[in-house]
Amino acid sequence: MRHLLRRIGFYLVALWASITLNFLIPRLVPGNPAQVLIARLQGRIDPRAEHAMEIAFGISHDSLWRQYFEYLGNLAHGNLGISVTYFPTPVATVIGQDLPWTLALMGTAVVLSFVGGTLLGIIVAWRRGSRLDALLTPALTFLSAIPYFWLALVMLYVLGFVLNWFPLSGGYDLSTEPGWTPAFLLSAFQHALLPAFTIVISSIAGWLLGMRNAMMTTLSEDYVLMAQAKGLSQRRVMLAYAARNAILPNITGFALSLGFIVGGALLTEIVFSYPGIGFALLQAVQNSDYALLQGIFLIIAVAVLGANFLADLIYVALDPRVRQERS
Amino acid sequence: MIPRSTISFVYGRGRVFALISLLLVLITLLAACGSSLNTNTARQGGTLTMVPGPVGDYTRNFNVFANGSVLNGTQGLIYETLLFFNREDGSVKPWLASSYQFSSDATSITFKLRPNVQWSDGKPFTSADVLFTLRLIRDHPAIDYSGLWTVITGMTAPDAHTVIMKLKRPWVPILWYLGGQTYIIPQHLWSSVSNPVTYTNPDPVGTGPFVLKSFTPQLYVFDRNPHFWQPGKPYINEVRYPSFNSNTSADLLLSQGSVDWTGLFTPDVNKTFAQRDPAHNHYWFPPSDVITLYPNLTKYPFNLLAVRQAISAAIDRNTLYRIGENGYEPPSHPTALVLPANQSFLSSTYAHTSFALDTARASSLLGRAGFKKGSDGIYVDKNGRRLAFNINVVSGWTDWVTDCQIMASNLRAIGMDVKVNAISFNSYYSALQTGSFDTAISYTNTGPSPYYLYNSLLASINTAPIGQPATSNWERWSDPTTDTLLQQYASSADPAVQQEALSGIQKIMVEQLPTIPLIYGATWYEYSTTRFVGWPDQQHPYAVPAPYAAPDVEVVLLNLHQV
Repeated sequence: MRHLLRRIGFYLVALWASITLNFLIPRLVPGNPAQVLIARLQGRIDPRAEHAMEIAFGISHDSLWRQYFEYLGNLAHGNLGISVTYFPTPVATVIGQDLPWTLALMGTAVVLSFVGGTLLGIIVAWRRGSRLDALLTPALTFLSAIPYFWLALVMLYVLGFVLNWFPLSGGYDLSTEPGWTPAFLLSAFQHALLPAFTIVISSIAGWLLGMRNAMMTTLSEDYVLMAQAKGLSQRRVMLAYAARNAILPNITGFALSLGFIVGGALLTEIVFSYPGIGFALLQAVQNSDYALLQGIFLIIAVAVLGANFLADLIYVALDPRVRQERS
Repeated sequence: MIPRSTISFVYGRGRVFALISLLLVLITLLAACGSSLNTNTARQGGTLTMVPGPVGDYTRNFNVFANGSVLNGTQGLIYETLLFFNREDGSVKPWLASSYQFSSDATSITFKLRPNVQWSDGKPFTSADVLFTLRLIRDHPAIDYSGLWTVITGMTAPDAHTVIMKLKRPWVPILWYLGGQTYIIPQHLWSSVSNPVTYTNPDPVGTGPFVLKSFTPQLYVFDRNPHFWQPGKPYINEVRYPSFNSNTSADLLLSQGSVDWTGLFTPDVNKTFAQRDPAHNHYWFPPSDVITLYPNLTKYPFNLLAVRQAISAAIDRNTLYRIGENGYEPPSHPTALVLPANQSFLSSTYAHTSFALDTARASSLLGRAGFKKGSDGIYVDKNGRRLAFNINVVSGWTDWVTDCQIMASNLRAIGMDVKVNAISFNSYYSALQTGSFDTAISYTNTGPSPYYLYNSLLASINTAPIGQPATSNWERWSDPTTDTLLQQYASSADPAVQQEALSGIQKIMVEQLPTIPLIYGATWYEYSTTRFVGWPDQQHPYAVPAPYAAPDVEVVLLNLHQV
């Protein structure tokens, strides 16, 4: 219990630190959103409009401290401000409409990739040196070594454009109305397949290799030898003795990637024109959109901390040593 | 200019397109247009899909004042202007106003409004709406993008269909900002809006040809407005705006034929798009503005005319056009007029002038100005100062970076030590504004006549001392003759007097090179005649053809009809 309380205290401090960094980092970048908008419109807007836009965007010339406390106050009230990129849409609206897409696509893809990669890693390690190990491990490593952007483009071109197996872009067929209707859900599922597949393909090797290598170490441990000597079933030795001890690093990695899910998959969203928060984040960075940046970073920070906390809890359950050491 | 809203890796290098295929396209263009202009055969109906640019998911924002972030189509398809300025030929058309009249001293403008116009909710459109819109702009400087109220002193509406605007001083160019760029909103709906700056206007009601049918972050759809004031129009039933994050997938859809109209930069557009279906796939990239090299005139040696002339003579603009800009952006005219759009304003003296690469002339200019080549092959002046300088450019704006590298190698070849300084946009822009640069490549601000480009580029009012931010006259050209000519244009509604002023500025531009015009920026415009015809093209430049151009998008959509 004391262990948990200490962890919670640590997470609160970390949350405060990340909120403060959130505030500071965008403001260290020179320039302001009005200038960026002028750059983006390149002569399509009268240069005198810069003044009007500075007023509209509420570009503040207050001291940094003052801005900081205003920011903390707004956060406490759940007010994330108005986005400049999508002016005058509130940040909460922008995040609210993009986040579900990101969670659905990335959540599924990351879980599939983790479960698949870890299971394959266990099997491959158990049968190390077999034909399966010799084929699967290098093949998946090869796929993950291809730059993701390129892999996704090729898949889109071949599977989508040439073979026409998958839709080319978007999150759903635009002729269906979004809602909990079978037609929409089916269409959303079809549109998610190819993007999710590319994410899984390009990331599964990491899980597989991590698990395989950790398994190798545990397989040479005496307790595994003893379990086998006791005559336990192959499956029990593989899963309960070797894999359970080997999986800890993968769990940490998984928790981290769960946290980063909410950051979106920028490249996926760009290649497949898939709705999501990654593109909004890119737009925010490009447009010096402090409010939107802060809003998205806040979500990421909370999600990463939350996922780590979850990992801590799982550690406690998986690894008795954590429980005993601290009592 | 390539739209910069997407990140740089979506741009590739294209190849120079072949003359033969260009001819092929022109022939098919001609063939397509022969039938399209016959309005008697205009068929009603159809759904048009367009992609103005890859901007990502939408938010429900139809605030017509939110320049730059408002959804495409709001300006034009829903809300309309009093007049329509065709920037492709400089003509002015009556729109919500059936006529306009300057007073003889050009200090007041009388707009007569069309009597039969209704808002899409059926309420009548009157002079009260126009006054309300302008009052709203006056009370909220945040939406006064063109500084209307720095010139307007008052306004009255003698009757329901007349509006008289009074100006502080004669200033004819306000007609473009007031008549061509101010969208009129309905008083009966906006009078209850507490803050028009932050209002997202989720259910827009306008006078334009379309009304909002549905909205999702991935797609919004406009429907025809049954109350629209032009009888029988629009011919099109529905306009769809699907969202895209990058050029890639929009390009594929365009090639596949499910998108009718785009405004995308596409490398090698002839091969990847036009040749896939030469009968239906077309593009036209008319010049939109002038990309120029801004020399910092307050700095030695750019204050010397001979050095500016030598730089200009040594730059190989054709290579910029062919290599730097994929063959899309041809060399600028020496007057910095955007041709052919500004053709009617071109002084007869310069009708046949063009830039020519002439390194011999560049060398002799420098020689006469007292420069001699040093031992390292670089020119030095009498005091031993080397002719060395930087060209500022934004890193990541790949076409301009290439242009600058070409220019640097051109200039090194004749004996100037030139370096390309690729920096972030923010540093680049603040250097331009405050004058802490040697030379920089940048765009110009255009309007329906060359006055707008000249005024922002050359008027001393738009510059500032070194260290203070200049709005647009970044080279810091400050010349009483230029100012007088600009004033002459602005204070007279007489076209002959205006043309005299423009000819005078063209002479200054050509002879004194306040900046060094390089190439034209392009308007991106690809379209398919599979479903719709009546598109603007080189022979029919009736509006800026890009789907992101406002309010021109309205004029184009009113001309289109089903095959």
